[in-house]
Amino acid sequence: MKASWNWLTDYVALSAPAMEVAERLTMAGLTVEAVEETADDLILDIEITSNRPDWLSHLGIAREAAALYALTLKVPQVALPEASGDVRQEASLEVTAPELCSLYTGRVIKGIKVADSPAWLKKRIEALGLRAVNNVVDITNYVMFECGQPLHAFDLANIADRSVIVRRARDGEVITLIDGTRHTLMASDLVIADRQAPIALAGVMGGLLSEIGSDTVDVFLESAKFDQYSIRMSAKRLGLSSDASYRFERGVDRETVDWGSRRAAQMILEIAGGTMSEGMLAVGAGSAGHTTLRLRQSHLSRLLGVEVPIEKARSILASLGFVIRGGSPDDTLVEVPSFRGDVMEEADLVEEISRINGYDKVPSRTSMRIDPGRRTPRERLVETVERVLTSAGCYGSVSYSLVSSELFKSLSPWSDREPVYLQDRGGHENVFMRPSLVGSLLAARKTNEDRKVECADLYEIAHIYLGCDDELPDQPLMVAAVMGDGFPDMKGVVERLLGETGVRDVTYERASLPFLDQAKSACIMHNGQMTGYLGLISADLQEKIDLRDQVSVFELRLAGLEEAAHDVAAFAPLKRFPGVERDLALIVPEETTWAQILACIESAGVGLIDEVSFRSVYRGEPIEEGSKSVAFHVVFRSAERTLTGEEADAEQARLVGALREKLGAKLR
Amino acid sequence: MGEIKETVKSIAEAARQEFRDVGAADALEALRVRYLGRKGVIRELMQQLGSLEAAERPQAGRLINALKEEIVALHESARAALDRKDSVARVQQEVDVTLPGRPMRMGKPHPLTQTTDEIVDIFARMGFSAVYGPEIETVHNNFEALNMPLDHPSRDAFDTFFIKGRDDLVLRSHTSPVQVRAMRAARPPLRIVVPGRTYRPDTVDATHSFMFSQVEGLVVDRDISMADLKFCLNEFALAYFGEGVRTRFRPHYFPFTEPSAEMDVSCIFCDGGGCRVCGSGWIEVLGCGMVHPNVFRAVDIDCEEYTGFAFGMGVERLCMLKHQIHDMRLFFENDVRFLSQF
Ligand SMILES: [Zn+2]
Repeated sequence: MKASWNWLTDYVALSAPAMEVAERLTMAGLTVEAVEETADDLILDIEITSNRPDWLSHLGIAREAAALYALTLKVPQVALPEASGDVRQEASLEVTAPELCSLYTGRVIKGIKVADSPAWLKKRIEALGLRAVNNVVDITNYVMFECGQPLHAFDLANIADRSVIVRRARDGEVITLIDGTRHTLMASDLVIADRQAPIALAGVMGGLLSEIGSDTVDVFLESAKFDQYSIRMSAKRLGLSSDASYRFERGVDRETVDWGSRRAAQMILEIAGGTMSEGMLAVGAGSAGHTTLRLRQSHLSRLLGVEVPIEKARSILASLGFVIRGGSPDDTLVEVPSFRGDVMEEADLVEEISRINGYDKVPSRTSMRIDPGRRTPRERLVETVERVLTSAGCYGSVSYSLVSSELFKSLSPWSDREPVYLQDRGGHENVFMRPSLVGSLLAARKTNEDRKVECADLYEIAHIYLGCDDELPDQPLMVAAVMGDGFPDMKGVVERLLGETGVRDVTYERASLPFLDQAKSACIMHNGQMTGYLGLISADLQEKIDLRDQVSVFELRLAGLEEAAHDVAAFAPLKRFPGVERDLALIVPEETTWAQILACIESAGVGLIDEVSFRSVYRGEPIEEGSKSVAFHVVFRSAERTLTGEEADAEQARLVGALREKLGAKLR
Repeated sequence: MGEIKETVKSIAEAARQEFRDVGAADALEALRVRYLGRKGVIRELMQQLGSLEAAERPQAGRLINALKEEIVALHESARAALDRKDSVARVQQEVDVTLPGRPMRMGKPHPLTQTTDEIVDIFARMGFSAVYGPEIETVHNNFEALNMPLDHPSRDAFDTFFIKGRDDLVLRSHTSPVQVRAMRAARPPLRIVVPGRTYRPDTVDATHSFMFSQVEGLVVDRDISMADLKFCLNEFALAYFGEGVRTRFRPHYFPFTEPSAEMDVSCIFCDGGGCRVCGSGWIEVLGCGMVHPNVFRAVDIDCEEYTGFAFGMGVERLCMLKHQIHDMRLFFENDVRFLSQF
């Protein structure tokens, strides 16, 4: 909202410099974003919050300034001259959609002379950045910027049968507006019509045909209160916005409807001449009664954390237009003026008092009790995961959760369903919530590669979104990474990650995910469920996204692991006695997995085995085709004494026996 | 006389040879002792002077002294040569400490994660616990329970992403619905912070994004006042922006708080004098206020018994301010040259 300093001072005798007033207004909630100096005026650019339509006027801002400086607000007196002839003889009014128009008034002024506005009026209008049109239109604008009530003047000669009907538009009905644009309407739009066609899109813009022109003689002056929501929806849908719709959307004051009408009528008579018809056409109540609220000094102090004397509170409210209806300090009855529809309960009064008193009067101190915050399992889990992945050389990434590439759908093994789509809207068509993090990481890897940033190893911790019919879709927290390393390195990272979080009982199975290399990928299993996967991306995918490297990825469901994570490690005593170390190499069939060898060792019941660690796999001469040699390291150890070589030999023999029997393994 | 002359000459020749060939410091020292030591060759020659005729002594003495001086000089230059050799050998073994070390492979969390963690950590020290909630949220929690009825301007379909086929679901447009969930899940006292992603259909540019991160806070207890709010948020500003920073609270409007405020901090670049970044000397940092009674009513908390305050801040904005990042889009490109800077 632009406000003219000269105009404001018509209503309040401000003696403080404009810059100081601007600062005070800002600290009272009317943020003055700029003060622009013109030839003989200052224009304040004020950001008005959506709850204060009363501030969209010079009188509203002046009222605020008067309250801040304890000055008197001078509201112009409106006195209409003698009228002649009954308005009901000149025009008729009918409202068929009272749910969208709770008050409509019309006055008729006949015999006016449309001309350019006088210089002072032009100046006021132009100071606000508006174009002066003619005296009648300029006056309606002037009054709107004075009191906040939008007005519209119709050329009465162009209203068929002089019948004004406020009704819902008919579906498909067409109107051409003052700005020349044509719009097709629907039943949710409210129009002002005559017997034949719409003559204005209510609250938004007048129609071209009934506009005031140089030949206009008789004027129908509209002042009304339209439904906020319906005006907003119509304006938005049709891509229209006007100073009028801006005010109607936020809500105009019912009691100002008549004041604005009389004020404009008075000015038209003074400036454009003519005579006014007696009375006013009106449908709807000019007042809806006033709310009375109870203000308790105790509550005021309790909410602000500082004592504000009740006299002070009352005088602030009075200066803002509230009426104090008496009562004790803890039972002060406050009548809310009709232009303050935003004030609905005691807390709103507290804000008004505190705003004018100054938020800086509220001390910065606390007596809040000690409340030890707790770190949640999720925080601990995420922190551990980040520590491991950054140590492995990965950078944290943040990618959009909204995607539109079909590729994302093929990169998720988490659901067979269609992803969660968003409703289409301008600039966002066919957008869905990503069902996997891996697509985003591959895209980021590609971005880096294209920019010659080598080896961008990245991870992301974020939610994915899976379609579902429940109240809310499943939105599990995931971690995923992309790295330039091969399968064993990636698996080492995953193992370390799970190891550090303390998640146990994890197994790995061959994966057959279409976007991974079938020979070098695995599913991460936990409690019989696939909780993640890892592996090299398939050559197909690599080609599709045009990546130089065949990178490896992993994705792991963190949701659910919070409970499985044991972040308190139990101490294991350090081994006191030396062990006997043996390196063994077994020749086994190709299909035999390391997991099978381990399981066999475990079930062999060889009690003195303390550690088994994998060393290497060898294929080739002299080992026959179809077999491989698996080398591993075994430590035999007793917790009570030093083992002898003979004891170890006996244990080793049992171990090798079991392996031979169960896996057909031969010692190399 | 001729005899001693011959002796001196042959000693000089031998010494020249030996000092030239000496290859190590201990051998040089042995040579020095042999020629110049207390029982060395020179001393021995001096002692022989006594057996000469008196007339021959001065000349012989001069010869011996000349020999001594030559040997001292030989020793000096041999030692210098050895030192030179040593130092080359030494340098060959020493590392050039100014050469770069082998790069250590280590990543870092994303700057937005770091900022979120820092904010949460500051509040955690004041007793706030982190709480999380879903990003696909019910319309009710995102709006109605936060005192934003259907005809509220921000309810407009143009300001929120709706889920296709589900008019009851949106992408949360702020983290505030988690307040609602937290208040339903546990009775007061409550002291929580809520970090997370939020979504609004903005066109992407240097300062806008359709996805952004917020940290929300909520305190509910008996007799929580605006003074408590100012205290906690002042402490936050000092911890995050530095001890010298000043704050101011301006009245503002949020549907879910009353009274409501915006907190500004004195500009960290010009210390409040006014500059290109801040304009006025103040930088808007967060929105806050006392919990609106309607929000308490929506979750069945007695607003006579309990009061509370809430606040919310944009993580991107705070991160951009602190690190002087000029374009929000950089956060979501994940260029390692950007990520590695923070
Ligand atoms: Zn500055």
